[in-house]
Amino acid sequence: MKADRIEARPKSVELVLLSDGTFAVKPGIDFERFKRNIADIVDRIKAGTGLPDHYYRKSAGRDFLLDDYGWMHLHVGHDVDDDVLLIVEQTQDAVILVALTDHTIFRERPRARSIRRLNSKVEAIKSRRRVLRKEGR
Amino acid sequence: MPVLKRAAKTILGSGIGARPTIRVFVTRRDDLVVDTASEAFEVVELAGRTGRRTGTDGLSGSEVAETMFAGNRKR
Repeated sequence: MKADRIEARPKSVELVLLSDGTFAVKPGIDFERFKRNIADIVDRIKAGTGLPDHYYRKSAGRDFLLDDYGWMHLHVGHDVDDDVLLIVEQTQDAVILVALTDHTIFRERPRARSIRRLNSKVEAIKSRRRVLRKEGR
Repeated sequence: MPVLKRAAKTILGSGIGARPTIRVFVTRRDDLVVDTASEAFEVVELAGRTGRRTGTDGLSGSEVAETMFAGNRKR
């Protein structure tokens, strides 16, 4: 899905976890400062209420994260640190939380170099969900 | 041997392919990717039990955030 907004209907939330069981957070970002907003986002996704506008910004140019990977960037730090982003992928029935990073990913070469390796984990989650759907679970 | 590869072998037999309808891929990073119809379900579940459960059903937003934070606090 390449929608630029989280759909306003209830969805599951999945986490991309690294091999050591941690969530990908860019070094230097204090995760604790963003916990409240992440909780808010998760609750709203599960409730299907949609997200308030302050989690979105209009992209100045082409959003290659969305175009190339299908990943949205939510301004999770809108009232804390506007530079910090929560990267997510939305599917028909779930939202996969990929990483907590900042706008430097848009300047990286190759693009999104620091997080694009997580794509295989996102695909693994989507694959597992497809199996579960087939099983009717 | 990575824990998931060991787990997959335990379920599937001595070698991947012992049950031909199941295809299991274990990457160098100890990820487990299952590509099959139905019989791989138990392997998927096992992946969850080894600490790689990615779903958050039944958890509140705060609990999900705390789970994410707790893992990163270990660093």
